[in-house]
Amino acid sequence: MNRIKTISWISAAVAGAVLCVSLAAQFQNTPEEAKNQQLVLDLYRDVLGYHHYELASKYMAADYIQHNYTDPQGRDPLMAFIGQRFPNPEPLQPEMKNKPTLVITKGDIVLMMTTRKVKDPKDPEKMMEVNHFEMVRVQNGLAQEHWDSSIGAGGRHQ
Amino acid sequence: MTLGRIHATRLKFRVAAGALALCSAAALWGQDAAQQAKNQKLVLNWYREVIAYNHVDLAKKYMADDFAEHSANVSGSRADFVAYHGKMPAQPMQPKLPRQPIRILTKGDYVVLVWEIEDEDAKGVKYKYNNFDVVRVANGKIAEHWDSLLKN
Repeated sequence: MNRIKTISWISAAVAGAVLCVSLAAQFQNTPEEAKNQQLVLDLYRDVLGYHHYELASKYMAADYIQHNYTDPQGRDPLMAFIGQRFPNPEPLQPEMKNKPTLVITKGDIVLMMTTRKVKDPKDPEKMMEVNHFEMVRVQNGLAQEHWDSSIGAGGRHQ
Repeated sequence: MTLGRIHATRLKFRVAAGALALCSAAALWGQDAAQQAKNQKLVLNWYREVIAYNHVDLAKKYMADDFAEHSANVSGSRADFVAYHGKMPAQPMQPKLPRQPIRILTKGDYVVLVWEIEDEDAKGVKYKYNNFDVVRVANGKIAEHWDSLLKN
């Protein structure tokens, strides 16, 4: 009996420690944050990555707010705008086309960063790192607002 | 040992395991919130003193020996960062940032600063754009930094 008790306590302690380590090892998304993050990653995979505009209303609010000044306001105008540039949908895949190198979700905000190593335009012998950022606010289970780093100083595209 | 006793033991185990798991999670949550607040303060002070007012002499105070910079203008070590930013003179230190971030996200070891900047495009039309900084903190020091700046 005592042996069983000891084993029980050891197991309980191990379970507690494992939980602690697993929580510390990840970003500790709350269930709500995990849902928000998944929604945004799915939106970028299906709609913006493989160009399935028919799925836009599943992921995006009709009154989608845009902070990139070259892109239109609202979901449908944005879909029409992107659809002109990329008219052909590609087969949906389980993996994203341009998988972010870092995803941080805090509350209703999901931030994605993609780091690429490219040749330095001023010195082709050298490589440089370029980071692209996409940020989305989720509201009522839909992407509601968007910011990105595509446009920089003097209206230059990244 | 009767079946009843075995069940009682199992129940005790489950209660104990559950209680311990909850305690650990609660303790970690509290510790984590305090740690995140410290990380955010560290990053904002570093950004203000070393980047905004260009006091690269304070780099060692804030940045880890094995710091890594990931930016279009400078990718490399703390020494590379200091060499690049040290080209510009230090400005008089101020208690506030010259511009406030529109959002600060602090999560785990990361602090994200989001900026809104007004500019004019090639046609002279005013517009706003966003810059981003991501910082990873380790052992109370700035360990890594990424930004969205364009190549100068």
